Amino acid sequence: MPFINVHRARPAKDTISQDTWHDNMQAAAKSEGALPGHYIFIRQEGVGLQRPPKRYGWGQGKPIHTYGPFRNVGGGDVPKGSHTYIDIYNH
Amino acid sequence: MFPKEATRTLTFTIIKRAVIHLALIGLFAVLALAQTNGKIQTNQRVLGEDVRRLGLPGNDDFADVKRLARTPAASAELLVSQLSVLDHPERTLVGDGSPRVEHVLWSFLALRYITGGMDFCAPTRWKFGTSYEEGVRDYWLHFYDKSCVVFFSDWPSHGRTYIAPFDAQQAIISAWRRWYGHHREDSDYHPLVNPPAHQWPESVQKLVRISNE
Repeated sequence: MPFINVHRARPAKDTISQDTWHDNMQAAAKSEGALPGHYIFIRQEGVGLQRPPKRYGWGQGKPIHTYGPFRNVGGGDVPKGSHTYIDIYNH
Repeated sequence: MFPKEATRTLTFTIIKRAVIHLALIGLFAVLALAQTNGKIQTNQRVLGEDVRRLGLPGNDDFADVKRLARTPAASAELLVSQLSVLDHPERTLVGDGSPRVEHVLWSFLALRYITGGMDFCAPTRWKFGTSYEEGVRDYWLHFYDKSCVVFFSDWPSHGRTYIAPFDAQQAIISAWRRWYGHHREDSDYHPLVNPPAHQWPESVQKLVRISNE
């Protein structure tokens, strides 16, 4: 699915948001931006979905790369916890 | 034997042989027709089976859809007959839906495949709520077009699927039925050509907007 809308946002000033932001920045800094990968999937280890549904047609094998663990403070769709991973898939 | 009698006997023999030959030809024709009918019925049965098991647990849906695309017109009729309105569209599907829900979604995916990536998009009177989940649902259902919603839409990175409100579901199913009515005798189908499984399910190539009636 083509991503046609990309929004930029600044983190909130509170400590948790700032910590999360810095964790993400560190992970981004390690990326060369040239690694393969077409799809991302976000999960909380051991809780909820661990891979996309079969119907999507991708993400049924082993991810080519996994970033994490990150701490997810909740409020979104991915379950709250300190073992949040981002899996990268080619297909 | 008199010549006249001999001629009569010869004529009788010729007629008898001709009758036997015609009977044999007729018999072969009937057998061939029965065999052809049998093959057609077997193919219809196999197609029907492929369609009925779409989305059921453990089924290789991708292989079945590819097979259905070999006879697109016959498959389209069966697939359109499987489309039905889904209850509780406001509930987000996290991961796989129930077998019934998956069956309907796979019927849409198969139609998308055999029509070269076509899908319909309908306007809705539904007012999306102010909750976070309704906001996300609104966004993904309108992903392809801000003025109309597709029957279902996925949030790929989260494995979540959103279902269109009832009025749009009904309009989209009716549109597929009308479309099939116009393409019943059509041989001009252009299914997708062997796309990798990870590319086509989330890709609408030709979005047909249903106008507000």
